[in-house]
Amino acid sequence: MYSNADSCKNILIGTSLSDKLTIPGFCNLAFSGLSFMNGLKLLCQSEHIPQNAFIEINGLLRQEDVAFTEQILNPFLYNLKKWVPTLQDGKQPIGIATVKLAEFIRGFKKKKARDSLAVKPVDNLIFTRLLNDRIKEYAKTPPHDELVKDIDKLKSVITLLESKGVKISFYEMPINEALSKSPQSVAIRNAFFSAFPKRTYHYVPQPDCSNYQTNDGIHLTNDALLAYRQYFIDHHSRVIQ
Amino acid sequence: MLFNSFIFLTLLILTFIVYYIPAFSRVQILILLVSSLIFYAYDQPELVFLLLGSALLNTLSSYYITKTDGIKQKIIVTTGVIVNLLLLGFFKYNSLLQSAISSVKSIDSAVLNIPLPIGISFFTFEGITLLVDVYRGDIVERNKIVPKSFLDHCTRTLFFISFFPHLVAGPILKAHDFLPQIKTKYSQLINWQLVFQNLLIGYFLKMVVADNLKDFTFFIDYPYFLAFSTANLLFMLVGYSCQIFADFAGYSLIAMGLANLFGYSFHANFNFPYISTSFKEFWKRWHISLSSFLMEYLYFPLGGNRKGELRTYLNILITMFLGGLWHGAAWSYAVWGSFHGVALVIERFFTNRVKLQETTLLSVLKGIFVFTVITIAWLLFKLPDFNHVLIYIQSIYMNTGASINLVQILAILLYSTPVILYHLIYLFKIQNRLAIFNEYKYVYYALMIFFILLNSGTPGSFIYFQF
Repeated sequence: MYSNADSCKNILIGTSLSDKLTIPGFCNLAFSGLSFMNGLKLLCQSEHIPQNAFIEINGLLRQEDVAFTEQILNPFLYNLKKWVPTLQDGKQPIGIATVKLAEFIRGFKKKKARDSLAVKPVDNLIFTRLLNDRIKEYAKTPPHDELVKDIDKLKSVITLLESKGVKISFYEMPINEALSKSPQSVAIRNAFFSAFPKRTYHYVPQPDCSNYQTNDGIHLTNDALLAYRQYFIDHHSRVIQ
Repeated sequence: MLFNSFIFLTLLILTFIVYYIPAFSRVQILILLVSSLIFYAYDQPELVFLLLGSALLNTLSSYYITKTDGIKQKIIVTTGVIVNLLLLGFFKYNSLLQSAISSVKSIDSAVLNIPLPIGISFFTFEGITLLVDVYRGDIVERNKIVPKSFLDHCTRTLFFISFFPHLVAGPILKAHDFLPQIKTKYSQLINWQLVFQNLLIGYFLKMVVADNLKDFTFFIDYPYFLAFSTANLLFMLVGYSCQIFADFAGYSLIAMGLANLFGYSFHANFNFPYISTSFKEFWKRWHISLSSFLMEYLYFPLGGNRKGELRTYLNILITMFLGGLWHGAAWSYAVWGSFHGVALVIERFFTNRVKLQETTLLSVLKGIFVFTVITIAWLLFKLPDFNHVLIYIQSIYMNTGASINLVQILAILLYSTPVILYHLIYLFKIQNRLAIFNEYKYVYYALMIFFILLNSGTPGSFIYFQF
């Protein structure tokens, strides 16, 4: 946002589904609890434009938090943070102290940090009921007007980014298999293919969802996230070649 | 309008300048009224009429209480209180109503999509204090609350309810405390040290502590917490305890400082609650304006502790249940309030029967226990869906094998440190060990200013705005 030193050639833009996705050579502009529109709006205003932007299609229905974007892009605060780097998130005194302290503490650890979260799947009545609630939610096809409105908003932002030379691609995060085949997911997928045809835009295909475990139906466990990460890297390498 | 926004700063400076111009000394209240209505209308212009309506209702009711006596007075005050509560119920609890009657298809959905006016929980309660204080007339004489002129009373009541420092998130003022303070104010009498101290500590707690902690406790929300380790889940809870204190106490201090700027004083709303060694003590130190309102206007009228042990427990449970429900239209808040009610009852039961010798060790253990229980209770506050609360607790138990996010834990610790120090300094103060802190008071002020300028989090709404 503020300097060349922080800019990236490739960017992921999404929601909480992909906010923990770390891919070599990629920056992640996915925000937990927010919409991909938040990331896209920030990118539109940034002086440092990437070559490639990958947009997560799962989060189409999530509405933009306008207050968040306005806050970041407030002219006074934006310029203040641009010229006084220590005001930027991650470069503030306590933020730096935290990272340094963590590195110092990790230096004492003899055991290599585990790469994966050993999270046991929550397999009980409460969780199953909540998953069933999500299945019911996904069983409803979103109103056509709503889909059209959201796609139109996305189109205008994508047009702007493309005019600045950004190549747009899409990816779909794997989710619970039943949710992936639900009317809502299918409607979203079709809306994207219709507005952004495959012959014009590149899509990282959604892998076989039965191979991926989730915590709650849509958010991948860390093991699953690592598996998807490798899938994405492999796919991206093939495409580049 | 946030207290840490440029628009608010502009409004404040303009109001301050105009307020103390000698030529305008007779219209000081009107100046503050105009600013307060602008402050309120900035976010919800259409709901200013609700605020005005509430003020008019309370003005009329309280005025006519003084013009009647006997049974008529009782009818007016009862009707006034009921209408205030109906207003609160209608605007605040319509979502509960909606879920109850959602099966009735003939109901127009537009009727049920009622916006929640910011501050309604506060200004309706203040209206109730006005009516009850005027009716009782025992704490402050009626003529000190209700002037002879209806227009004067109308202006003063609207000012009392809408004065912007406390309008949207308290503290809940009582008519007998605030209205007698209304008179011409002079800039020479401003206690600048108090103003500076309240504003500085308030903004520090809000902008540096609360606004930064929120970025880490965000993940207490479902489903984000599912992927975190036991240690992270526990630290997030502690972080949330510190965040909610910093947010709310910070706001209250800012409100006090702003009020001081215009010559008015509010009672302290927080008195270092996390040093409490009992739940009873906690509720004398946390959100004091609400707990004292509930005690004075609900618990005592119910009978307090004057009608036997069982009735006392019932009165406590009712008071805490309603106090919890006041916080929001979700059963989790009522459960939270009831949780505290049960804790108070159990504590009372045992303290009436078991007398332990107070030692330092016992006080420390009690303090840790009370803090732990209160922190766990905040989960009910943070997660409106009770199922999510159960899953969070389950995740604490199950995620012991997960890898720890050390950066998050350290960040929570660092940002929570000021809250811990704030309480420790108070403990040292009451043990007469404050000399060393007084010596370096200005160093701490300088450090706070440094961190406000360089380490503020991204601004977030005050948590209590939603109530």
